[in-house]
Amino acid sequence: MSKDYSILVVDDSAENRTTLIETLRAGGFTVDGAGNGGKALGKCASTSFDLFIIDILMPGIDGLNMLRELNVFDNTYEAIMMTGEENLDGARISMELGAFSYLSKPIKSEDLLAQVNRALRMVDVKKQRLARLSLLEKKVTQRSDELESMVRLLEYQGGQLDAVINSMGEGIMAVDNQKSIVLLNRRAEHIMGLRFADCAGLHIARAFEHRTYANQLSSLFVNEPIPGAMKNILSIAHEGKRTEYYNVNVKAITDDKGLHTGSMFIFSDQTDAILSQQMRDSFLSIAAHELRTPITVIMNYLAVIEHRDDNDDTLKEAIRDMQSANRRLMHLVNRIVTLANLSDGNYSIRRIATDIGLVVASEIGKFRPEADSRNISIVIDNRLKAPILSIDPGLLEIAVGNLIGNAIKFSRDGGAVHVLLMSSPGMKNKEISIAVFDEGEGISIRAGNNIFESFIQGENPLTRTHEGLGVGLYCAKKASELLGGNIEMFSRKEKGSLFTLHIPFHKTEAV
Amino acid sequence: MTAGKVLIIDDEKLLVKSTCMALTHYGYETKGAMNGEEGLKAVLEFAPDVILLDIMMPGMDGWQVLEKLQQNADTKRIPVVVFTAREYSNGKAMAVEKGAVDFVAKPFEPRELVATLEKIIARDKE
Repeated sequence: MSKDYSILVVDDSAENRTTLIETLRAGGFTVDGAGNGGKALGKCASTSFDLFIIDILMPGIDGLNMLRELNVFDNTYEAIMMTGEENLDGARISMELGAFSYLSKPIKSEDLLAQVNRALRMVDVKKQRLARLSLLEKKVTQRSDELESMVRLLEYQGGQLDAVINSMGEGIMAVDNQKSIVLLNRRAEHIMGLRFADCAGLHIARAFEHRTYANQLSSLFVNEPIPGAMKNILSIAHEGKRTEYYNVNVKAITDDKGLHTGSMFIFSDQTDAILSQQMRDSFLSIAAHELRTPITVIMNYLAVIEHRDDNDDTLKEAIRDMQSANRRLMHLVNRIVTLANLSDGNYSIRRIATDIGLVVASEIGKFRPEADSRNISIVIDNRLKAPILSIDPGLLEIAVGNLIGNAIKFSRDGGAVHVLLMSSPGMKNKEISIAVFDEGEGISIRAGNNIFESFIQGENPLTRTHEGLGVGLYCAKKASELLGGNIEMFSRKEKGSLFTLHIPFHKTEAV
Repeated sequence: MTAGKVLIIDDEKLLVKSTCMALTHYGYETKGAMNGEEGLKAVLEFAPDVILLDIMMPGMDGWQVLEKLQQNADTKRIPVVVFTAREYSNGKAMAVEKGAVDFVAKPFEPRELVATLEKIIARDKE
């Protein structure tokens, strides 16, 4: 047994006390003594003892009262009580109060040491248990501190995330796989005229029921553009406010494993851009319409003068040049009027049974004189199986005419333009395609990105090597979109360009 | 013997005057009217073979004139050609739907107009 243990002997008999102390010191323990309970408890304030050996019968604070004060249940020390043979009750009570054991007087030194050693082993056990307990307690405290700071961090981050999402200039709406709304930031609330609190968890069909933009939004969802509407553009007119236009980007939301968990709609405001484009288009349209009558009047009078008998050669030449210049003006005005008609969003589509091959041939016919004068051959290869479709022939003319015109314009003299008409072979995604191929100067891929924009011609918008407005391909693209189709471009610099107009049709549209 | 009698209804004075003059050179007998009411009166007095009709006019517009012409059995059989704004468009389909026989897009050249007139008058004589 270690000698580091300290023991306090509490007995009112000095003789007994001395005997016990000496016996224990001989056993190698550090021992102190006290003559009554009060003195003993006073010593406890300055010294920590491992074991108390207490006489039950003492004046003042007796052994049992001291035992109560010591409260051995909640402490690591132990107490051994001493009784006379006549006080069995005291022994019983002291055991109930938590004493380790009791010794009956007279006490043999070997009994004392045996009991003391056993009691001290219990003290060791209690100390170890306490140490483990306090370690555990420390760990628990530490972990709960960590948890608390994590919760604080998450709350902070959540708050920050909300702040970030709500400060964004873009409107954001997220829906889950069931198309129920799971997020609507403040900007999106403003755009949709709807509060997140009122639509959280609702299916979008329910949430936007009765809203003017409901159809536009659901068409974006299934990625089936409404014919005639601007692609990916949502127009919203709230009562008493000007119409707002938003570009809508739909993105799939996927989790860590790549599983699709929902969709996100990002709305970016395009109102200013679209309104300024509309202003530009309507200015052009008004200007072009105003030019129509003066040009016609000049044409009429030139025809009148042309038919006079007394014109000399100079006047005849002047009349021819004026007519040629005026024709260019006519052509220009017609282009602008077409552009304005396609752009203003009010084009009313009229489907009639249309022979595709005939329209293409007639468009080619319009360009024959120009092609012939530059020795350019136009080769048509019609492989259509169902040549008659119910579509808007005006739009088809615009799309095809501009592609052919473009091909001729950018061909070299003596070159060839090929036009190929095909039906797609499969039953699904039935479509016809009209491919126009030229052997002209071609265009680099980078420049190819914006050639469908209006007023851009070739590589550099500021240098125009060819006459014209640069609206041809823009008109063709607009027309193809109104037909429900699209135009694909493939081009190589110095090799030529291939433009393919795709027009989808349902089986019922084939006549 | 004239190539035919043509009535031009358009609110643009210079357009009416110059078109009449140009058609005269191609051998047509012409008359001009500056608005819908004047045009309807002229149809009865002049008895044209073809009517050239502008759509965008103040007061009674071209579609209304066309409707009035359709209501009268005498005027109904006179072929009407409407002036439309668009070269490319569904103007022709709309014109035919409303009872016109053809359309000419502004701006136009007298030869185009004459080609259209010749086609209509030849068809009418058959």
